[in-house]
Amino acid sequence: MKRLGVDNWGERLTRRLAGRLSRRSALARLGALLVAAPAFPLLPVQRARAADTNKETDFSREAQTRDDTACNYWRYCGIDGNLCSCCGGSVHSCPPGSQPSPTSWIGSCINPADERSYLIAYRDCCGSSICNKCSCIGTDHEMPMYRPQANNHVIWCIGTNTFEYHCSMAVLVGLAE
Amino acid sequence: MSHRFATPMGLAVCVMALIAAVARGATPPAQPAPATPPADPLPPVQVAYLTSCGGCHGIEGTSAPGQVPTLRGLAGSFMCTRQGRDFLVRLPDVALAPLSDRMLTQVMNFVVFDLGAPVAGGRPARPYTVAEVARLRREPLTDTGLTGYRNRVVAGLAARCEVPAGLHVYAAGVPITR
Amino acid sequence: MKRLTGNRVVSGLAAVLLSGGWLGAFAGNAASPVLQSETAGVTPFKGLMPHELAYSAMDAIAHPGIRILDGDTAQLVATVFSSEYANFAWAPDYKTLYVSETYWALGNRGKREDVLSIYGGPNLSNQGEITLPGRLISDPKTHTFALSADAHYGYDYSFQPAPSVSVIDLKQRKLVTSVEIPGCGLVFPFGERGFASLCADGSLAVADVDGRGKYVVHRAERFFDIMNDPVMDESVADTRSGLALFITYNGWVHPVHLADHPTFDKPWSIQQAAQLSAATSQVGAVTWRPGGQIFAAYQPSTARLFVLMHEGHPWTNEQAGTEIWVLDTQQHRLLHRWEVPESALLVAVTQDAQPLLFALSEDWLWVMDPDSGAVLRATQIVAPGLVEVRGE
Repeated sequence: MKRLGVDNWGERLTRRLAGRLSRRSALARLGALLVAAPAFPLLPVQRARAADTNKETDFSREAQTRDDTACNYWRYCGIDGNLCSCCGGSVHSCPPGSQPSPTSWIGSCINPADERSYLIAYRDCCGSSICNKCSCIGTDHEMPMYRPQANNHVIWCIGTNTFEYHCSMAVLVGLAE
Repeated sequence: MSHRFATPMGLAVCVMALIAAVARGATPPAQPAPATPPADPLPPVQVAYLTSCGGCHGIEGTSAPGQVPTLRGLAGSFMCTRQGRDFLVRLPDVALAPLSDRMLTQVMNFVVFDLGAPVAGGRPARPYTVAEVARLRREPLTDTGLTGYRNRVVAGLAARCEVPAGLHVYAAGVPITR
Repeated sequence: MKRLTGNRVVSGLAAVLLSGGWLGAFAGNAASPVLQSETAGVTPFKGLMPHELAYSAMDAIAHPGIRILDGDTAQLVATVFSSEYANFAWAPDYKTLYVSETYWALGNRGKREDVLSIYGGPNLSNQGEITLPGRLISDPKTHTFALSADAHYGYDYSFQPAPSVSVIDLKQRKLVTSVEIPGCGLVFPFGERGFASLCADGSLAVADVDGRGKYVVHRAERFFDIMNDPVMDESVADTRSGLALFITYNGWVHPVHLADHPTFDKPWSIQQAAQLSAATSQVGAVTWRPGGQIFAAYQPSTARLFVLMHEGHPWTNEQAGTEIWVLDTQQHRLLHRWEVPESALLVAVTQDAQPLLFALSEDWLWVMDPDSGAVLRATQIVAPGLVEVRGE
């Protein structure tokens, strides 16, 4: 998943100064950031990403914000499976007959409407026969199975009493940046 | 949610409400509300926790009972002994996380002091320092059977401090589903 | 069935009884009291043949089970039952099949049973099962279950979600131990009793397990950048030789000789082998990239690598391939580019002297000639999951 320099205070500060200030009291926030922001060297991985800071991904370039039954809905950059929105549920609720899993993987997608990065929990609904509608695969920054924190192919029903996969939600956890 | 919880009890109450709401499938709208930005961005330390740990350990630090170690209300207990304190950072998924030493330190202090409160020990526990985390993560427990090791660590904690009973099993959290 | 007239029945029976073959009368058709024209039996199973493809189902949409298809005729040869999310591996004689699978007593709930089911004998019938302590439930991935080269041991990746590998003694039919592999996953067996696993920090874990369950795990060095260009789960490995070709999302091939102390050859780029620039992860960097489900197949005897390739931007490692690239893994050069009839998610190549190349989509199996790219025949298929061919 994209971690757009979130652990680089200096980098965030620069981006805010560059013009994309929030609606909140920008000056107060900047003041707080200036006090709290120590300078420290970036690790090589983060250095590479900082150099490549577009507020977009290949997925977000093609994404839309209106129709959550389509695979290119902005939250689905990392979804794999059937959309609960097509199965009697919604992006954040399981259809009747199924139950949400307490475990999931958490990725981040860019909302093209405001070009900001949001954390999305791809929480599966488990227990009922597979929905078999609106099959989508988003692999934006998806990691292989041996890094399960960001993998779609583990059946994320761990913690329920079942492993029958029904559909996947894309729950908005919060604004990442 | 990005606000700090005043007390562990307040935390538990909030989570219980959340759990109950999820379990009852509280009135999902037919269409999602148009995407409006949340009031505040999540603090970077929480973003780092959520993307590296929150999927399995839970957004609020509770997860699959008996299968994923509960952090909320329990992680703080590990500060009771030197071994427990070190253990949390030497866990492979912690030590080898793709986070800078500084960010990892912030995440661990969030896990222990925010999610994992109350913190055990006679005196107020010192937060992790960057130097300490940098040193510990160079010795990840990659060649050890973690289950047995954790059991020994927890036995050591229980011998020295009063720790919640939930520490002896992986999770004391309330099951989110039946 | 036809009925014989009374005299012939009587004389037939008399012959059997007089010959002392009374018990034998029930052993064969000829001595049955009712002289059936034919009786039902089971077609003998000759073992997985060189041109056959064994494949499982991708998910609940396709009926679970393992099917064997003859590549020369595109006809079904055999079918073995399995649960959803199953994995399977053949013993070296390709007559015994091990299926790693999970059932719940009431279908979607109830007591959970993780087992290693065994199929074999003249009719590929069930020969019991070995209880597993748990296993990973995931979309089908080749390297979550594998056997040692001599099939003495089976290795099953488990995820509870603390990762571990169940080591099963297949001769004694019992679990030897569970090897904890924190921060790592998948199994690549080598030698008599070792296996390697890929790790979330870009390194390799190597385990050595003795027959009584004592084990040692250690980490070899980091050799790839997990956050920018991870090694794909469906990388290929040859258990017999211990050679793994760990292939990244951007198409870098890392040849690793698996051993207690693995050796890492210099990586080479699939795109550079085709005289293109190496791929990057930059947004908008469209180029030819490996991708699909089972996206690569390796032929040890010729050292040829067959890779499903598509034109796409970064992070499209599951996009179906429109071409199969045939690469010489020793000279690091492209030999052929074969077009796939539509697009394919799986690829396999047989290991015999007149090999067949299989390309599979969600609906079709195409049988191709790996040397000319010609499509020899095609048959419809439903959502294939894993594929196996007979080894050398």
